[in-house]
Amino acid sequence: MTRATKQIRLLGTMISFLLVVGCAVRSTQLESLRRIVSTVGASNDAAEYAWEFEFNGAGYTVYPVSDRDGVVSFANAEGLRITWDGNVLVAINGLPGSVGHIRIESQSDGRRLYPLGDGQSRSLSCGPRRNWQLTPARAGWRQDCVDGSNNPPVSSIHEVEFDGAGSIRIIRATLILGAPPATLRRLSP
Amino acid sequence: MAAPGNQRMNRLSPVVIIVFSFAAGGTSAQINDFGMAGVLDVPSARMSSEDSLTTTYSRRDVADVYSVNYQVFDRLETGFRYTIFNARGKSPIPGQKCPPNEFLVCDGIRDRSFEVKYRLWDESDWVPSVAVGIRDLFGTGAWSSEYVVASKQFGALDLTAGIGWGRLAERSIAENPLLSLSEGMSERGDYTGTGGQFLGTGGTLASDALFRGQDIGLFGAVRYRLPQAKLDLLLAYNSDSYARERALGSLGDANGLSFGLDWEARSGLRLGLSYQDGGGVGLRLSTALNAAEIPPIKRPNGFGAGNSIAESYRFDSKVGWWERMAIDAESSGLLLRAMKLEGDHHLLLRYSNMTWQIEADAIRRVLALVNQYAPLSVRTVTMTGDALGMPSHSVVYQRPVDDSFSSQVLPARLQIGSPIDIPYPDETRRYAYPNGDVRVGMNVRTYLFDPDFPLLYQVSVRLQGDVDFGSGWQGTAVWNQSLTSQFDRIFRDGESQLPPVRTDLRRYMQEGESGIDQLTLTKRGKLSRDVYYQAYAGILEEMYSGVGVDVLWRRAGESLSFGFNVNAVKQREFNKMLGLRDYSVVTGHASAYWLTPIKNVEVAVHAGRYLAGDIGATIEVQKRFANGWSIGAFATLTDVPFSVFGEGSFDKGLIFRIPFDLYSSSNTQGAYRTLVRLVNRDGGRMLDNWPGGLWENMRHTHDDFLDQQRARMVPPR
Repeated sequence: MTRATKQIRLLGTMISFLLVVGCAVRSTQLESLRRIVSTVGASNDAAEYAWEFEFNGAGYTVYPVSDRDGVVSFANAEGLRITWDGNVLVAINGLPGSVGHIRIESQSDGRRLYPLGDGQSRSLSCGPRRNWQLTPARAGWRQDCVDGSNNPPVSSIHEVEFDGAGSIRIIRATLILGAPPATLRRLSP
Repeated sequence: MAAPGNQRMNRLSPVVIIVFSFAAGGTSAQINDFGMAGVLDVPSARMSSEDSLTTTYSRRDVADVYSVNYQVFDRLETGFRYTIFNARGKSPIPGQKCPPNEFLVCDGIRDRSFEVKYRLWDESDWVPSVAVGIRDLFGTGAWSSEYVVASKQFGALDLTAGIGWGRLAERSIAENPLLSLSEGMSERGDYTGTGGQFLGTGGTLASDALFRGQDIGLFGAVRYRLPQAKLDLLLAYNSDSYARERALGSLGDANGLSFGLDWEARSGLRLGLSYQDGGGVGLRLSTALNAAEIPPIKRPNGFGAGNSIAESYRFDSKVGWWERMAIDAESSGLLLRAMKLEGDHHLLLRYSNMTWQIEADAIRRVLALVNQYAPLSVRTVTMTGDALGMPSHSVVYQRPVDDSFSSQVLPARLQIGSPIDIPYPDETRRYAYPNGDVRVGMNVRTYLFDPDFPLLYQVSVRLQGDVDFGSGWQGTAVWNQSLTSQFDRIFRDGESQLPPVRTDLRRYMQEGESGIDQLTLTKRGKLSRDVYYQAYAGILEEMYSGVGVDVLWRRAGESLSFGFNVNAVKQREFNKMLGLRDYSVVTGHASAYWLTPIKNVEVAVHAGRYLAGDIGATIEVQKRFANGWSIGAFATLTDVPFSVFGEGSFDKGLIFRIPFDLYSSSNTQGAYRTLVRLVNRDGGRMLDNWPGGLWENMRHTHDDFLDQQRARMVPPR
């Protein structure tokens, strides 16, 4: 067994352990976490847990881990860490390039504060989640946030897609207004 | 062409082509022993898909054949082959081996030949596919034969039948029907027919042989497919009786029948095993790739988490968007050189593509970064890219307003045109000059088609240093350090009635086994928006030093471009150091480049004075693809008579450019470009690979390629 293979297996084992014995989770997020856990199965192969994080043409393999307060995180050994609160991606650390870190803040009135690429930020009003079903194997929900009060208008999306078995296969969310949404895609079938 | 005796050299060439053929699957038809679509040793009317490049090695008692086949168009198949007759040196005297070069007793011919086949009719429910072919178009006649062949498929059964002339008429069945056109059709040129050993000098169209001869022969084949096993059962009857080879004892008595198996081991890779006409087992290996294949878009090299970006540029610092965008561009294999913001809504950018093979991918990356970083007020982006450091093209992009902007409609919002200057930029990235880099790589050089050693090679380390002094000045030095070489086995010198401008190759390869390949100072720039120039001085190539200038007029939207170059050069010493020999010449050409209406087909004509002082013109016809591949042929006719030129009659050969990007997991602009010459002679020769040509090196940024790749420029959504 090569060193890399050993490391992958070790990481897989750690992920399994974290997923099984992990910290307490809030009930509202339990379902989301369960849907991710359900994709893991009993295998110790790290590839079974791998997700692909893609943002604006760059992509990385990350692994789901549970974090404090039950917020789901995806991380890899290169320092990339994506935090998902069960609804939206709320924080990114170690994002490629000169972006580095992003935090999307929820405001008390239900709005969310997003960064812009030029260093500014904009508060967007988010509508209710809308469920959709494209095919028996593709269903999910989507939430749109907009701010049309200023020119130019801006928008963001939050989308979670399930497969036919009800497991999450894709999470898409805007990180930077004006840039394409980031995508988290489960790699295992 | 047969009759060895002159130097033939290429760097890598067929070896590289064969290696790369393994790297990608293609769609080849059933390939025969001659490397063309066919069954065993007979042709069929089948063809590969357009732009398939197939390399084949077949091994039989009669001959070993190395071939490269290219499907130029849907209906036109071409092939180049090198044949070693009687490769195992079988002697007519039982139990003995043939001594080397004993051509009078044994069959020891080495032959190069072109085959061309054109499909006349497509197959339908009731009509077979019909094709006409010439097996030895410019050759000396070793395989001299022509054919008309029909193929018809019935389920898993594919039947082929055809009539042949020349060798394919050795087992004659009827009188040549073309005799009714002219009595003279019964006379067949150089072809010797039976037992003849001395063939023509070749190099010219064998028009006095085509479809001529007293008789015709009938050949046929059956192919039965077992798709589950990816196996074909083959049976063929050949009207070529191999009379010459049987007379020379390299083949036993033949009855015309062969049978065998053909297995598609993987997509594009086929293996064949056969029992051949005349006895003996035949083996065949063929690989195919699609030269037009567009690779998937790769992610930028070295961009991402874990790769260090200075904290001071991080998003949460207060550094402006332009600096962050430029930093991310540099991490992505691009340089953003300058920026101007006009009225908050129009962003002008000047970028340089440093790593991406396909320019559209570089543009896509720039646009992705614009979408990520530029202020939302920016609605229009004008990007001007460069080639060889000179602005060469521009793309205007309308930034999507919101998420309703889909990739399906975006390509129409890209406008491609001539480069647009940014006279007074708001921001520029300051790069320190001089700057440069050093590259070390392995180099394999081959010497092909020597009568004694069909393939000789040298493995060396190639050390290249480039220095950018800024303002268009560049210095380049290339040192080649031999690690191992077989070139000391070459003992033949080229004989020439012209100044030995190229036929001293053996001495350069032996005495200059290691040495300077290039040492130049170059100045590049633009005389106007569409006129580019480069002037250079130093050691220009392996055999020549000197000075020169190259000028190109090229305009977006125009199918014609023009250029000229003038060079005053002096021949180098054989040891490839700084010394010079006595021979000098002023050489130069006026060139016209035509992008024909036929997709990816371009024609270039160069007229002028060549290294030996001869006057004439070269025509190049190439299919060139946006992925970096190009395949073509060239021919040069000068005022040197064929008899003075020597073997081959005039200079000609094949052109290959193979991009490494298709076969690499990372983005690279590296490519291997070679001219495969059949014979190395002195007539009609230009400077090799220098000036490299403005046209050639800027071609990837021409608007026709950009236009083909519009959809690929669309940034991620």
